Amino acid sequence: MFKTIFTKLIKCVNIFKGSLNKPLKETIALEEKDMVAWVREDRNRAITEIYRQYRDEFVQFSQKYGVVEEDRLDAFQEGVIAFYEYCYSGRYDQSRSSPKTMVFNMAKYALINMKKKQGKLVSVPDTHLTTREKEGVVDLLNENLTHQQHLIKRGLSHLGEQCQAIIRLFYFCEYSIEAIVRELGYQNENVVRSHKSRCLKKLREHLKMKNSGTK
Amino acid sequence: MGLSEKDHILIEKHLAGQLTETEQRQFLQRKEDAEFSSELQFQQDLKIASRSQERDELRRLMRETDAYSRPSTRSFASNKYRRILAWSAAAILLLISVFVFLLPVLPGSESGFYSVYYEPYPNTVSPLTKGGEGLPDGFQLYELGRYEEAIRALSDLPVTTTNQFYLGLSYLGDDQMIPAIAAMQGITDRQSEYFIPAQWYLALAHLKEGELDTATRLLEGINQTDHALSAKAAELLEDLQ
Repeated sequence: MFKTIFTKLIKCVNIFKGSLNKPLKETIALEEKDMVAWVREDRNRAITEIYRQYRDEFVQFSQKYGVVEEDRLDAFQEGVIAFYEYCYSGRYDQSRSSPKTMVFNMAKYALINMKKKQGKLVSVPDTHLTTREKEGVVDLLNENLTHQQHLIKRGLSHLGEQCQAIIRLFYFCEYSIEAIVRELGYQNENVVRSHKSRCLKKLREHLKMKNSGTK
Repeated sequence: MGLSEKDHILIEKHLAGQLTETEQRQFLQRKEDAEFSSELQFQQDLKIASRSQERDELRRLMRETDAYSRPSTRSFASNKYRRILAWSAAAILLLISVFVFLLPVLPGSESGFYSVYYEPYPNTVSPLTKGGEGLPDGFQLYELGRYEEAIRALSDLPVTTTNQFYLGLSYLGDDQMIPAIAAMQGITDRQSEYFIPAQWYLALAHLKEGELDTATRLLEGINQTDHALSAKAAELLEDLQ
């Protein structure tokens, strides 16, 4: 029992010390970043920073909508993803609205739609999103994969790293074969095409195996 | 008969929205062919699956960020609330300080740090989903806290870094430190995303076993990296001093 008290006390002292003395963490000035370039070049860091810097503020800010914290956090995550996809598509105009405004608006719209799906109405003021921006959020929330698409998605994780990279660049990032040559340092377009073709063949074989296994 | 290279380029251009008018006509004609149509459908499904996979990866990244920044940010306590908490803690400390400081330094108290610092690592491999179907896999059993079942399920999987890591975590959850240490020690690939987290849990397991020197060495190693856990390692090292 003494041990527990002892360790809890140490923790209390640390929390106390931390609350009073801990300087604000060094933050990256997101507003100054070229978001479209950043999410394309350094996805993981971009998403982690956007999420880390705006998460708590959104969750606190959205308290007034009377939705539980877990749902507000879920909506925020969907907002970040919608923002990422919007940036990735090259349609995001940073001069029209800051990253924070855009993420918050998308997260708010996600929150409205998530609750609507549950048959609940959330009173949120106008999100100031364009139709296209709203469509991005709705498309994300309505993702409903078919059985075949599920199998393909699972199959993707069974492919080698190089195959996964080519497929991601071609199908998600919508890179041309020429751009993939440059990005992954291949010799020429024919090499990429034949590599991609082999990857798709492996994927089909995996699906065939899975489909025959379930019959 | 098989598709020609031209067919593949037509599909490629269609997916990229780059068909010229002439190609668009050829594309519509070729769509009548069953094999062409089936290939087109496959690649359209692949595009959707690839986007879904990207989304899952982003969700995993955000869950990981949550896992590393808990409890201070995950609880979303306001600064005001945190100040109240801090002062309350100070008041409690004041009240019992005489009692505490009269206590001798307890041998083996480092094991208590385990319970203070241990937090389950999130299941980022196959997270449970709302309304998910079928029996839970080993990773999901771990997430559910059904550690004994998770150990059985994960032990049956091939030995990979990911499987070993979650097996080790399940042993930790089940309070079996020796096999947990053995599993975590098996993660030696420094390039793996699980290497530093495995070192962290290994350090905690050694602390629980009262092996302060080994734990300290591991924590110092983590502290020298720029991994998100280095701050926690530094904090724990400070507490241990």
